[in-house]
Amino acid sequence: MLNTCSIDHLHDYLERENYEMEPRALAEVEAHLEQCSDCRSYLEDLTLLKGELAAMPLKALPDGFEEELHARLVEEANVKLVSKSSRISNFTHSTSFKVLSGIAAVLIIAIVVVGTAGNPLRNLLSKAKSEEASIDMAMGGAPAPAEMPAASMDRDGTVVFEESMNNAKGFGETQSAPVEPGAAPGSSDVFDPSLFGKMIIRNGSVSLEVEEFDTAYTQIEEIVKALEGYIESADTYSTPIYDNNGRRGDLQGGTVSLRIPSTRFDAAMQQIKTLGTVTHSNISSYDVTENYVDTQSRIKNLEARELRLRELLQRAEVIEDIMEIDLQLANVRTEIDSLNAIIKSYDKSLQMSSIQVSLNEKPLSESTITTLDDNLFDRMRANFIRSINAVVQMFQTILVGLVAILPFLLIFGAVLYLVLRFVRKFLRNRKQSL
Amino acid sequence: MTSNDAVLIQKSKQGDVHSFELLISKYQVYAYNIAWRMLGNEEDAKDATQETLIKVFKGLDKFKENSEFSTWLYTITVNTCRDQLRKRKKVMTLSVDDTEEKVSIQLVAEESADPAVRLEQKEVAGQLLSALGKIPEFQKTAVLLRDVYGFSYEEIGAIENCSVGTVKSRISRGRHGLRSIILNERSNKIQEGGTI
Ligand SMILES: [Zn+2]
Repeated sequence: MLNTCSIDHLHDYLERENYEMEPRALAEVEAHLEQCSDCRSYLEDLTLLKGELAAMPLKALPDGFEEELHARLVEEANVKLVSKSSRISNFTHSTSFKVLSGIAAVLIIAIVVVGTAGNPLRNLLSKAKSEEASIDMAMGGAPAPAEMPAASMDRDGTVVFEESMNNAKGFGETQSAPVEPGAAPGSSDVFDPSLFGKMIIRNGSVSLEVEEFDTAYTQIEEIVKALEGYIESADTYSTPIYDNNGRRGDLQGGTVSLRIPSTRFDAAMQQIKTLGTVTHSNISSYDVTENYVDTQSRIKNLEARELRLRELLQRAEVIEDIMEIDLQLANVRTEIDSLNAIIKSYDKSLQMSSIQVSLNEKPLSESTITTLDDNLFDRMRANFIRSINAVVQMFQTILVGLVAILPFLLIFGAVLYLVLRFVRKFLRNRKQSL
Repeated sequence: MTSNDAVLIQKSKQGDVHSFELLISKYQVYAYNIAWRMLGNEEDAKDATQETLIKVFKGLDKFKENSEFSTWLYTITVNTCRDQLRKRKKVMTLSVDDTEEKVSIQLVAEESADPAVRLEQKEVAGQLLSALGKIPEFQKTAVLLRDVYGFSYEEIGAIENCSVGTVKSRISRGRHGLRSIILNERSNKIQEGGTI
């Protein structure tokens, strides 16, 4: 059958809905299919096969896939900053002795394996630590800006909030948030954003490279305090790095979410930018005036409607009417509540701008890596590498030397041999003659 | 490429992990499934997909803005899996000879003798997976991308870095091989049944 028939055309025919066939080719195939039952059944098989292939289910990502990827991506994002060229450059110079470089390569592999084997574990540990430390305060906020729970950080990047979370409860509401300078302090529900003309929500993000994470964090705390804002959440992590000697240190980094009174937003952005080298900064503003006014007027309309329904309810006598009005009243109330919630969240965003600050330590220069336990291992490794370099070099020198004097050795050996033979012969002759 | 992707790529290049995760959210399931079908088990598929996505993140600077991001991602997926398979093969040839492969190639080469023999849906559904494992790798990938995941010829050509003609011939040979293997499987069974 298939020797005389064109299989390729049948595959084209199979795909004709996705890829239009040339009219003539199409006509030919169709004419052939008319008279060739083999091709018809082959095509049916293909159709069945294609259908079954298309029906093969997609497999969902395995559990924990995204979490694992996230951790690795965060690590990559930080490693990106650190130069990777610093690993054991001494070994890579070319040598003509393949055997020796082979030995060296094996040793390098051994060293690198030993060196890196510790890392995933350590990363995992520090990751776990920083996760513990990321206390999300978004739900709470601060009781009052002046009573912010003081956060301090220890060497591992663990955030220690000195005040208990219970104390921080129940703030972040519009009432307790700092108010515009014009409004009377204490009576913050006077605040009406629509009084300020255009209503613009402004948020910002700044990425900084800083000398020392802890210092920068403390400075941010001070800025936030001075501007009567609060820290919403803080998330820290640390990344191991290598320098030219193969030593390891940890780079600390973190993301801090701040809330700053919107009137002081610019000041906050400016001050934060002075804390380090700005690698990225962004300000977004959303004009919500229209939405805000619109939402407010919808609330007013609904409230008017609610009032009318109540009046109707009082006058209603038939039970069906009462039930119907009740139902409508409930619906109106639900809608009013949800619109009020929207207004409330607008209010919060209008009063308090949010700023995301990411802090990353600059890759440290040699002298500043001082953590002892890390360094002991790293120094040992560096010295080990150095000794091996020395041994390799010694072998190289000896071999080079040997090869270089080989011709002389050969000649010297030959001469020595001849001399010795001559001497022996001479002695034997003398013995015989005696 | 959607303009949304372009924005996310820009942010991802600056090291924004969150943007990158958004960017790949549409594609990672497909990448995982391609890897799963190519490698044949979940563990390897997971590792290969993670490796792929990390490579994509690290290599974003090398991505050309005017090309399709998804295609680029799938290219890396396929190549990563292929590296895996190559490594596996090396280990295999050290220990076992590749008789299994020879058998499968033989099966593909054999024309199904009787044209009257037809596929049955039940056996296709049951044997598709094992049959996929027996056709040559490049044909298998082409069939997977076209018939299982619905990629166009052009996309597959971009992923595999070959012409549409090559893609089409790989697909038809792949389908043809699948059919032959499934039919052969049946005739083997019948023979076994006959001798008992
Ligand atoms: Zn025919």
